[in-house]
Amino acid sequence: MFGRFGLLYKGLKEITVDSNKSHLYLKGTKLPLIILRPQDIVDLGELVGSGSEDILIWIGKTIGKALCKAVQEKDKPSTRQKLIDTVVKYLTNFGFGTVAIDNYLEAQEVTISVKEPLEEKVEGGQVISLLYNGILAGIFAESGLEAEGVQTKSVLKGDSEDVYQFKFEEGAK
Amino acid sequence: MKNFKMRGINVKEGVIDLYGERIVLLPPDLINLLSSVYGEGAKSLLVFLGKKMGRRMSETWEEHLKPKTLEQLTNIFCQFMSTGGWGEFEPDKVTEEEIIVKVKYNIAIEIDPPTKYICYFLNGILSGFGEFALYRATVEELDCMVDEKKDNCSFVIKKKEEE
Repeated sequence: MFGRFGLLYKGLKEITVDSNKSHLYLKGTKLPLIILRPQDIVDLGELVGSGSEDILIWIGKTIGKALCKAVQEKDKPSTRQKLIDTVVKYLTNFGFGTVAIDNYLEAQEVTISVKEPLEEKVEGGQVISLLYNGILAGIFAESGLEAEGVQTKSVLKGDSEDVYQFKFEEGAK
Repeated sequence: MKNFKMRGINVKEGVIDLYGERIVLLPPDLINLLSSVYGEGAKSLLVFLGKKMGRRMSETWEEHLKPKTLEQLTNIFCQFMSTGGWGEFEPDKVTEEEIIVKVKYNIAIEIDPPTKYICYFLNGILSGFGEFALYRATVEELDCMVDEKKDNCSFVIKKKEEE
């Protein structure tokens, strides 16, 4: 019906496809990727059940760490801020919404906003918010900053965007 | 390696749509991690969740691409699964009674260590597709790359007899 990978589309520049294996990767890395829909993610959240916020954050954190590690090895950013900025840009390119650093105080506090996040218009979207929180915490953890994020704005509560605030433990390097 | 291209995709800042449905790219380890938390018994839930996803995807593609035959529908399903990064899906046999899909390079083997969780989820996705295509169907995985170390996985979708 149509040639695989063949027709007009040039939007996802950070993705490479191994057309022999039909695998997708973050360009220049061995980090495999698959396509999911937000509703699929919410449905998969049933595997951990309701009231498992810590588990969802932990799972997000594991993914955030893997992503940050892959980016670190690939792009070798010269500073932590550049690393975090690069990773959140990848999240934007992967379809997570427009993810941006709103405020960055080195090793003290970082605020990250997500415009048009995945949980918009999805029933049970809280699962996705918790994954975002975890993914961002994982990115910070991989860059050497341990922190738990607090979601201060949420599209699920009528805000125009999600905002996550991270305050790092004293003595972070 | 080629740059990722797929018809039907629209991209604007931070939002990717495939035939009007929002999609996101994520490491497949997500499924593995969620399943490992559930532990024993994850198989039936993964099949159930995959089935919902397979059915939903089949409905969307049927609506947008309007295949005229079962073979075309199966080809579309296999092409989209392949393009979605799950491995190389190939229709091996397509009849009104039975569809056999071969999966080479199942993405499950890219995860360290490889686990069956993604196979269970794929079984569900194929069940959802099978129910859409054959009305009522059962799916059996014949060969498996993960636990049998075969060269490819093979899923048999069989039409269920009327009771």
